[in-house]
Amino acid sequence: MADATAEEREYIEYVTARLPALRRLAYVLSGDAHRADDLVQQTITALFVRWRKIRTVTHLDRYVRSMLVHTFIDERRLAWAKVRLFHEIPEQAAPVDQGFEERVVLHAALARVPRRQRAVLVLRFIYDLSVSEVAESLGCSEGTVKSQTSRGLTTLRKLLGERQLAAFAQER
Amino acid sequence: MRIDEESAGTVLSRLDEDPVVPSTVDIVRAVTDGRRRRRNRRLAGYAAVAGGTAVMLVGASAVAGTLRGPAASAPGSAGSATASVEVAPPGPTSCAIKQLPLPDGRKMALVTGGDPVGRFLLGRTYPDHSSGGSMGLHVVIWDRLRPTVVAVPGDDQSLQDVNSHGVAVGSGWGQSGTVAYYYRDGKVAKLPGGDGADAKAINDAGSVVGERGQKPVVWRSVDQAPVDLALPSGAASGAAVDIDEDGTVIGAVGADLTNQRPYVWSRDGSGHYLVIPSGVPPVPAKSGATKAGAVNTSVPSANVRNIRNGWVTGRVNATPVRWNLRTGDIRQFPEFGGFADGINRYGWQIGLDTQSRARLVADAAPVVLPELAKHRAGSLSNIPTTISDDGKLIGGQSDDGNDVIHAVMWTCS
Repeated sequence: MADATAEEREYIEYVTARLPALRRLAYVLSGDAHRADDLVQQTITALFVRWRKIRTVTHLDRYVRSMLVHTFIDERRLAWAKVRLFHEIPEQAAPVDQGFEERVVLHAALARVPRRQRAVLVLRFIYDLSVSEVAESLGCSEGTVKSQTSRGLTTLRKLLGERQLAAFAQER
Repeated sequence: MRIDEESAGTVLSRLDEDPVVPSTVDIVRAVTDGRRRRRNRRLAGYAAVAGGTAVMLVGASAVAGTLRGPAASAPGSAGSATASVEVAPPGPTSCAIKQLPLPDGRKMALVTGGDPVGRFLLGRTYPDHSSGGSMGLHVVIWDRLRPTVVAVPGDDQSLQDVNSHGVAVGSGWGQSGTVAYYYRDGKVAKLPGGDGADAKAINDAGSVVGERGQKPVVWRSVDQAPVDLALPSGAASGAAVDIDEDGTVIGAVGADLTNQRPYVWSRDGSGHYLVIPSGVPPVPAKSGATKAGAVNTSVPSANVRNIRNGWVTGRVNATPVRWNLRTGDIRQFPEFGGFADGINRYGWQIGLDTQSRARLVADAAPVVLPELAKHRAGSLSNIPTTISDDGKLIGGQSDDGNDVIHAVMWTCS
């Protein structure tokens, strides 16, 4: 942008560098590439609004990740859920690969886990955050993270069934 | 092998991958929108005062003007399959938007359902995003625009549908899954057999439909145990999503949760798959992606959403479709690019158009529903959810200039 201030250029530089990571997180949370981009767009817009205050925080990446997760959990809850019903997985064609079908099933199962629990599962088990880091990120107690973890896993177990899970684990 | 805290990482990390489609995130747009929002924020003090006045006006004038009691219910709604299709009155040609009053001093809210007459609306309010995280949403029922907080237990709780007698159904997330609840006379109670169940819709006769253990079920009344709806051979799971006044139920069934097809159960319990029209365009292939072996594109994907007076809304591939179960008529509505959702007794639909604007399609020319703040093309900032039988009241949500979601109603004439 030609008319950008130095501060805005710094923002653009930061967001450009972080974009792949943010899209990846949004994709695993929402299970849909288009919704994921919408989520990232909202997050980086909110980031711009607060950029002046935020840009100097110590753990900027962590902070932005937390913003994205909050945006996912809170704001568009119903709107996205409804659209998902109409643009369900697997809408977009994906490159052929062996694990595709399993991932579709896994995505579909994860999509049925309530959002807050889904966020806890993603942060803990895909991003390897500790219970206390997840609690800090979501602004809740460690006890809540533990109970949400257990409930989220219970749901996944129910949705997927034990046999299917065993197969997933073996393929790794 | 169980999915537990040790194995979850192994299983779930299979999903940690880049989206297969090229990015549509637009950083320049984020800067432009962000600048606009910063300006709006500086004006927010004035806006809050003005907003408060508007809400009070809604409470005072719209009650008398647009909302009706049950006595005004449309006559003869429980038609049989052989009844002739009634002639619809002219559809509305314009609509006005108003924010719904909230009971708990909150700002962020949306509408989840409404009754056919236009007396009751359902919704949820959310705590302030910037101050409190995601905890503590409230379920709300509006009776002639007067809001009351309803204590539905659990997480992620909501009421999904309400009949014209004010009996509502929904669910909350309990210890080990969803729990189905109903609301009647100011009290919330668990539906019989409600553990592990989800209640989606209720008709004026008091019959409730939903799912239980991934099977479609019907509660003949909120006091009776749920009964499984028969699955056709080859189907092992499914869900019921809506019930008509004559007891016809729509839903989806299939061998597993990724292969569900729309299904209709008659009042007598017999059922059939819904006819999927031919010639619906396939879902457009995304650039840069090849066809996946797992997706059989010769079988269109379809689902259904609502039924009213024999009219059914749904979707085949990416095209919204309206079925008339009484006449067998099937019509595609490509003008609803996003989706069509609610439908009233005349087959008038609400949904999102190809630019994601909220829209009403009656028999007259389509009406684009006004919005609280200027709509950005493609964004989900205005969503209609429920339409009354006379087409004069539409409930839904609309974002303001700061992207805060508000529960709104459109009054149409």
